Amino acid sequence: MFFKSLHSPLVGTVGVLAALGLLAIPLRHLTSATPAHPLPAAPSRPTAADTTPALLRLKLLTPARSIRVHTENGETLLDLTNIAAGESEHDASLPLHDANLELLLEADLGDNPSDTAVFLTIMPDAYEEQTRYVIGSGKLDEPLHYDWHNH
Amino acid sequence: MTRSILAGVLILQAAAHTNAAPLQVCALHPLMADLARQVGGERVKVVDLIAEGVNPHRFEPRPADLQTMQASALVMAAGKNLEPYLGRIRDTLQGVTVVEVGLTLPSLTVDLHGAVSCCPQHAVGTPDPHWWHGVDHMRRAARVVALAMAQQDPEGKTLYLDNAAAYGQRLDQLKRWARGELAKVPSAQRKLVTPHNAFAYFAKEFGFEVIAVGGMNHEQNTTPRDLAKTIEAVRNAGVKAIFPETNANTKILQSIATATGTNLGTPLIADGNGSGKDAGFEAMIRHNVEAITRALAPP
Repeated sequence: MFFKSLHSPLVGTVGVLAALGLLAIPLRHLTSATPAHPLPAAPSRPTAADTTPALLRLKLLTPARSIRVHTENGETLLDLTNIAAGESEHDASLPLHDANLELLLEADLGDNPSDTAVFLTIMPDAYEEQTRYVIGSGKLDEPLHYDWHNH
Repeated sequence: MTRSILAGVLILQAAAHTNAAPLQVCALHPLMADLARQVGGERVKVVDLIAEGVNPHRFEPRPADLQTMQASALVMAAGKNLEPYLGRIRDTLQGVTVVEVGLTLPSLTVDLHGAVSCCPQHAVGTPDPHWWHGVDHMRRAARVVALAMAQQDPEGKTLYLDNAAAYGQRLDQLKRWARGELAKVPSAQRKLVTPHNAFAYFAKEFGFEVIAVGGMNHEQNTTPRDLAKTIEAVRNAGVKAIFPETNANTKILQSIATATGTNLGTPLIADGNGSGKDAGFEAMIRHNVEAITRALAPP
């Protein structure tokens, strides 16, 4: 019975479709080869008008309702809600004016009255990482200052 | 019936995807190969061009190596001018992305000690290429590698980033362990006397001073003048031990140890080229931390 059903037109059609589907995968790999990328130039220190790519690492000791990080000019770098405790990494573009960075951290840490901590590590390309933290409970609104002058 | 047939087709396609050829990554440094494996997992096939135990400072690609690179999607180099041949590779390869993993990581500069004891292509004032001794650097590098792999294989992006994050957590624990172990070394003994000026990133991260002694590494010949200066430097440092390097001749260092009354520590792994149980980044850091602590901490 099983072997008989293998010879039905429906199963045959499905077999052909499946074979075509399987073929499509290697064909996609062959036809979507990525072109060569020239080596990016070594990152240079940004001037006042530049921004520089950076990695932001956020670490929470306890869950938070919301975390927002923005620059002095109001540009949002991070805007997260219902964040679990632990670490997360995010890409950003930072305005490093004269190797200085002033950020504002707005955090809603929920109703727990106990103090907790929020750590924000900034890793701009070609710069050492720097970590700042705030300790508190409830709603926080704190400036974070980063300075790479002695880097 | 139709539903089950469709489900069957989907399962077949999923199975086909699972069996798709992995992303081939070619590594020009043993620790870049290790990093690629940590981040790529089973989704990548990593080809080590530098055999276990070989010095990456001395590697020069052969035509067969270029063929292997040409067959890869990614070529991963340490960067910071460790591979002076990289420009030629880039000119030769077609459609292959060459990633200098260390490019966006912060650099230390080769200092005066480097002038006499590091590799010839790393003169004073140039970036020190040995960034792989920084645990923080390696953690950042994991994300660089994840994003490079994701560019070639967008469907794997989440996996690569998750693997990089998990590896980062492991490195965080490794760093805590290393700090705890190295805290056993008294502050006056936190000096690494080595023949090869490779440990500046490690020293900065863990609060050590590097005293690289001239003319002792395999890139240079030792003269009697070098030897006399080295003996004086070791005496001035007041250290309990000096450290040879794996895969290097320890005969001269042994004579310096005898002349200065210091001990010869367990050889350190300088270029990530440890073999066997010492292969890979985490094993290298553990090996070096244990060797330093054993030699410099009180019994």
